[in-house]
Amino acid sequence: MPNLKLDLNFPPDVITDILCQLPVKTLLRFRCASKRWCSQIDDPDFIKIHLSHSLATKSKLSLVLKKWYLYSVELDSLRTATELNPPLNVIWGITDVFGSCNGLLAVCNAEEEMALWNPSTRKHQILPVMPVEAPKGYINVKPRRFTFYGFGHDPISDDYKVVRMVQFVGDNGFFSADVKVYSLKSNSWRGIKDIPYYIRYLFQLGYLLFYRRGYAALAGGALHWVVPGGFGWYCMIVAFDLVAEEFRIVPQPDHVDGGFVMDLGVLEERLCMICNYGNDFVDVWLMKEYGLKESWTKLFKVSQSSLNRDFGQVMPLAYSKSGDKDKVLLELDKEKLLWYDLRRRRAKTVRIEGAPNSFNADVYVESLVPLGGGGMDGKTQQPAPEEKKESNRKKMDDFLSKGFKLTL
Amino acid sequence: MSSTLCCSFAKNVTLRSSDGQTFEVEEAAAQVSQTIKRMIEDGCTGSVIPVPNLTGPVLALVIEYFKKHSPPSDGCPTALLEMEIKDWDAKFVAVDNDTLLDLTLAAHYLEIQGLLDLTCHRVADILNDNSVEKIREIFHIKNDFTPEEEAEERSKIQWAFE
Repeated sequence: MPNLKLDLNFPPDVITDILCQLPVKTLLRFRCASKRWCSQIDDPDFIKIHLSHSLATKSKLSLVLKKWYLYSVELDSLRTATELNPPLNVIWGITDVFGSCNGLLAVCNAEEEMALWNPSTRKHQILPVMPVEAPKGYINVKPRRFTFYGFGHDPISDDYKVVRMVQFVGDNGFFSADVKVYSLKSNSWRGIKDIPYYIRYLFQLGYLLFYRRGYAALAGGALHWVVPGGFGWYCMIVAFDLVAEEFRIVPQPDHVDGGFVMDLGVLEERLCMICNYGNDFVDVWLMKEYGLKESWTKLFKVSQSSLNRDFGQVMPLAYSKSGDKDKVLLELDKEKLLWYDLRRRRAKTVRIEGAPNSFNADVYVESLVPLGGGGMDGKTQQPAPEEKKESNRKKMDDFLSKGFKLTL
Repeated sequence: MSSTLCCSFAKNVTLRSSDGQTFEVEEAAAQVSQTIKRMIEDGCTGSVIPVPNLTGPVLALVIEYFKKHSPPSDGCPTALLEMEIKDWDAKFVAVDNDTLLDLTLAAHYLEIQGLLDLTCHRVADILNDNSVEKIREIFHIKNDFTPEEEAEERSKIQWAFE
């Protein structure tokens, strides 16, 4: 075998197979090995193959831990958390992560201050400011206001989209919603006019504390929120289809015992329904085939006695990699993580070095998905100093109004 | 397949490397390679099967792999056996870098998915553990960047080198 070099003479498929195994940081380093390697690693097709390999093998997964600051920890080890450096500047308040898709995190400081961010490549894209359109002609009583966020990938146009839905609810039955969709490809926002009637039942006061704080669950190319149950009606799941850019209701399984509070989650990129029966136990359901009602499957039950502790909320995050899905990582009360052994029905608290005492977690996959214009060469966009000052003032206002809303 | 089942003795095939060395190996073992399996199915068994992409020493190694990974005659592999094979695999690819690349290419040409996964994984581990300079050296990668170009590329992602 002459010319044995891990370079031009090597079959491209094999090079791809090798590079797919590597973490993003190593790949970024090896862009500097030679021009061939550089163009291979920047190639959009390779970026997609690398991503689907990671998703298929459940490798290169991490958690982003959210508290006052953001941290990252590898899911395989859950050993040491490192602090992340999010792209939006904060003087007052916090940067929160409201969505995770294909290695990109959607972050916001306020309704008009958002960014997409790839923590693995450290690239980001600040979203253009889109002012919220407040309802007109409603001066006497100020309606309550709540914002829902969502982020995901439109597989048809291969575009990443952010959805922001600001609702205005008055005591006298007044309702209005401002729904805007941002597209990364066009780097612009557009309004959604067709808002079905059930959207008005989405917001209830508990939303800030429950229901993922209004951050959508992404699965099957759609964003999902819980429509909380009320006097005489059951919880519903509302979806916003990222391809068609329209709302719809997602069918729920038949034969579910009533009397639960619903929450939504995502497990291995599929939609999960968490039915909480009076904080006594939860049933976790999974929609195996997206959109197919019959594919809802009850995965497992977690009770207070099996966890040996009280809980208010349980959110499944991931299965263990080794073994046959015999352990599941649970987030409890948006505070801590537990490995729950499904066979032995025993839980073990996860302790992560460098992590805050309590936190909220999201799963993300390391990827090379580019931001800030094509490939790695795209310049990272930093807002001008003037803009920053302005946005910080805005942020303070928003933070204060958020705090005010909490006391309502 | 039925023809091998009815025979009381194992059927052998002969493989010939690029430098003319020949090796005799059980037909069932050689079929770990999809390429060889197809050739056997096409009726190449009577004569010698040429393997022009592999030199003698590499083919000898690949045949070792065949023998270890040939399907067991008495049904399902046990968990213990699987673990033993895993250990054996790890030792098998703990070779010098040139041999590792030889084996990677051999797995590619002969379509031996298990060996390809194994070698790619090993190469990836080596890449992960070494500096760019070291990797250029051990895998004979020619740096075709000018010093200025390389400095510019590096400056964009300085943090990845820390």
